[in-house]
Amino acid sequence: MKRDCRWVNDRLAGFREGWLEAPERAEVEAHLSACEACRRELEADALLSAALAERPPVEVPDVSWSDVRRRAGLADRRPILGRLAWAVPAALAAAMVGVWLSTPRTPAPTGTTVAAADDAPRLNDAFLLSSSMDAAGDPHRVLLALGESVQ
Amino acid sequence: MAAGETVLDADGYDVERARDGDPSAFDRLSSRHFARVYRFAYRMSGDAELAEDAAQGAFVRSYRALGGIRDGQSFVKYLYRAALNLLKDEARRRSRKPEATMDGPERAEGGSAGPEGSLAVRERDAALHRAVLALPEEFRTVLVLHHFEEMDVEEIGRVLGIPEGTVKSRLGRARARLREQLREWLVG
Repeated sequence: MKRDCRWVNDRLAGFREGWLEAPERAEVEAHLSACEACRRELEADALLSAALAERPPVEVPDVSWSDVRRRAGLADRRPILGRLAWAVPAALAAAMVGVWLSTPRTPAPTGTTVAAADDAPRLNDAFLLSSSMDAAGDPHRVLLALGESVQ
Repeated sequence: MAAGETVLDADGYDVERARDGDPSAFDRLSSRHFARVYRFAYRMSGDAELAEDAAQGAFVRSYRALGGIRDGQSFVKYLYRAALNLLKDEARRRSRKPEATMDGPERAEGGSAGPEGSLAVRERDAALHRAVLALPEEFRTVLVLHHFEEMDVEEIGRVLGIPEGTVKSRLGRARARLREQLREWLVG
């Protein structure tokens, strides 16, 4: 099959680097033998290859992993706990709040003092923060989701 | 174990140690590979600041993903993919093709003025840098990985998760486009 210049052009790199399968290679060779423009293009690809091979230098900034880790707020890696380990205690905390809020208040027996709802035990904010926050987490989102006020 | 095997397995060893919580292991991985990931990101974006962010981000992501990375080869592959994804995310945010900046020639080592030959080479390199940045992202990626990161076709296919035939096709078309863009530099 006779191939046009565009088809051959897209395969000149493969032709030079030896990637082409035998039938394609034969078609490129046949075209090159009859097309001066594509032969010049083949020479240009050789020059381009040479320029690319020189790999113009790139100055690399001096960055250490400890700097990156500190900026990203990454904790030391724990072999057993995975990235989502925080989600389990957070889910438990949320479930506990939900249970507590939905528990009906039973009237106290006569003579017994019952603490008002506002005085009822609340989940510790510090516990929520420590268990709900991963390296990039926002503690405020957790608190807002639970209806807590944000200081 | 032979000396050659030890060198080839260094990444695998450090990945395993890092997974087990050894902080110095990831330090070694970072020292070994940061420069190549940065250069890749820089050649892909032409933006030194973005390249630094993408390279750092790639290491942060790989650190978090260590539990799922099985060996040294996978680690390197993950780094490149992470850097590429971060660059793509940024490109989408900016909603424009990455543009060449004069950061290229200025950041290059040995950039001081020299004899006319050096100036011509620097101008050619600047033109090459701009032409590479002007390539469609899928062509630019395979070209940078092959010609600048010295990956062979098989490796590129593994890193990008595409068939070797696709790598070859994209490389061929990338070089055809570069020849077109750089004709004035390539014609004898």
